[in-house]
Amino acid sequence: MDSPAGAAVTLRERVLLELARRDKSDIQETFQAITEAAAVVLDVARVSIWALVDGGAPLDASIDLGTRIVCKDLYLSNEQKHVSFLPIHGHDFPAYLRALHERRTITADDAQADPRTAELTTFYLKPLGISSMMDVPIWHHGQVYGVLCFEHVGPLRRWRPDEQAFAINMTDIASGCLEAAEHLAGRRCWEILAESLSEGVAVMDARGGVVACNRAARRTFIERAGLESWAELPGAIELVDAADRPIPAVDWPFQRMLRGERVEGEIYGVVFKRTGERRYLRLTFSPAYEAGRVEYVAVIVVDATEEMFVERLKRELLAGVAHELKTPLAIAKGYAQQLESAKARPNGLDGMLGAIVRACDRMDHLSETLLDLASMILGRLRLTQERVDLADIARAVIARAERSAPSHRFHVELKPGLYVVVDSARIAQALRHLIENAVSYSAPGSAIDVLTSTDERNVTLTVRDQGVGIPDSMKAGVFTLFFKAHAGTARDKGGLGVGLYLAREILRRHGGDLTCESEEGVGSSFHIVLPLARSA
Amino acid sequence: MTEVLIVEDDEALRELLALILEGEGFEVATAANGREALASIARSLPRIVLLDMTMPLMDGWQFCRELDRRGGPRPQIVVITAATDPARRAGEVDADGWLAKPFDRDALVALVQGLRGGADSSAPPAR
Ligand SMILES: [Mg+2]
Repeated sequence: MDSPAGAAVTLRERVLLELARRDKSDIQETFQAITEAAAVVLDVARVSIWALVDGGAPLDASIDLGTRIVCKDLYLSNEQKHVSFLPIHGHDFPAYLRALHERRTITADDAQADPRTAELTTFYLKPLGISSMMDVPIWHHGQVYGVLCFEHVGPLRRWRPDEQAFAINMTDIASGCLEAAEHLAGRRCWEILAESLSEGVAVMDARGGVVACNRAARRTFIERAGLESWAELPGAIELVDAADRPIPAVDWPFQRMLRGERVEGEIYGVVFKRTGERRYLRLTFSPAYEAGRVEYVAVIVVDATEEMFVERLKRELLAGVAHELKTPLAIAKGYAQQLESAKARPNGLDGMLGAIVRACDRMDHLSETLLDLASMILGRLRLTQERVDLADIARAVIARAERSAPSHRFHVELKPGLYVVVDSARIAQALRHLIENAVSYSAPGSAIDVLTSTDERNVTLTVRDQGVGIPDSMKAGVFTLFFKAHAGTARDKGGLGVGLYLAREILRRHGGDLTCESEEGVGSSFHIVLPLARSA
Repeated sequence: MTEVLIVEDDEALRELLALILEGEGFEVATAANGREALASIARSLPRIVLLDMTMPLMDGWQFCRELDRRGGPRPQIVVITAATDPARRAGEVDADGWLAKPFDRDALVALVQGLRGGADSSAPPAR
């Protein structure tokens, strides 16, 4: 192997190996590496790659003389540099183009005389002193993409079979480079597509590892859980079903999919242990099989938290409205009919009429609350703006409360002249709700204080009871829609769990707020805060 | 002896039901939830239970389950419900009759009288 021919073979093999191994993601760089290596190894003055820009016609198709042939790279051995060259046009060189379309290597030892290349003589070969040419087609998808050109300067050169074989190997590498670039472009398209989706998408392997995912999927799980990698995810979350029952790990959708069950658009609650945040996600697992076994799984994740919220809203509202509205209706109707059926004017008529009026008040208040809630959800709540004395609003509400709850002692301290610019009906409603709560959750005979205080900017109206109070564990949720601190306990006073939510929303839309202090067994204070009107 | 036990968490409605039925000459007892109702039944078994379904502490469903679990004679049950499908509610607890809120006073009286009469004769209970 120490003969010159043996050394040359070794060099060629080494060059081919190196080129085959290199990262081919950049076409231009790879083409330059090919031309330079080919020029050095075969000791050729000029080596270039040309592309049939409009060409690469399918086999047996007629030759398109409109084809442009564009120089992608030209390496000049003497100057050791890469340059470019003007495009040439097929109709100027029909014989050459025809030869290329035969899809074989053109070995023109005497290029200026060879019928396939002679037409290049005046314009190209002679001026550049090119005597011999070897042009090898570069294939791509079964078509000729272009050509690798070896142009020898000096005395005529005979291209040997081993040189032709080497040149063909070089074009194979160029083909590989084109394929790699195409593959990358394809992948890039999928990446762009995946990243543009608002849905989370991921591909998992059969062991549950995440092979690929888009940004939405990362954001939904990894970022929300504060994780570094997908591998940590199973330990960082809990799954619950749509009714909030925990799902054991063996019944997680991935496991069920592995067992051959379909998981399509099912809603799961994902509880992130770190923050306790709960999101409802609609999951679809689409397995891809290889030899009857799951190879990969495409996972689609759609956030359904809003959807679940609205669903729950509808459910709670329907059930709650039915119960809350129909009970006072039953009372009013029943008493009215009882009065009608009485032969003589019964004893306790006043009590009955009072009950009818209170039942009607309940319905009235409820229908207002529901209408406001519906308006708020639909984004249609419109507030009027009147300049009024908050003490006047408060006095009217308290007067009504004293009638409907004679059981409680109201202790009222209102400073006059607390002007605010508000929707007075809405503010009255919020206050009414606070007072009704105070009555409901404190013992008959106990006091309910209604007090005002001011600072430079705001007026605070406080409703304080000596009632059951709110357990510490419940305080965070007091203003949540459908929150009921005492649901299912002896202290449950019914109601929709809408009032405090709505009251705070109303106050916030006035630039104010509603806050709460409470101690279990001692009582609760709710503070209405409103900005004072600028003195007119 | 108690003839009708009224189980309803809403005080005003509970008093109204009692007023109507007492006015018709029934012996009436009242309970504010399922638990109180069970205690009342333990003291004196009524013929008829007027049962609200949505109640704190122990609702209508839990009450019926507990009643069945304890065994013994079962009073006739009339479900009073605000549900849009009261017949289904009644079926859920195998009740003998139902009233939808807001109910009609005379229908209430007729239903309770019918059940009392039905229990005495061999006529099938109202459904
Ligand atoms: Mg009820």
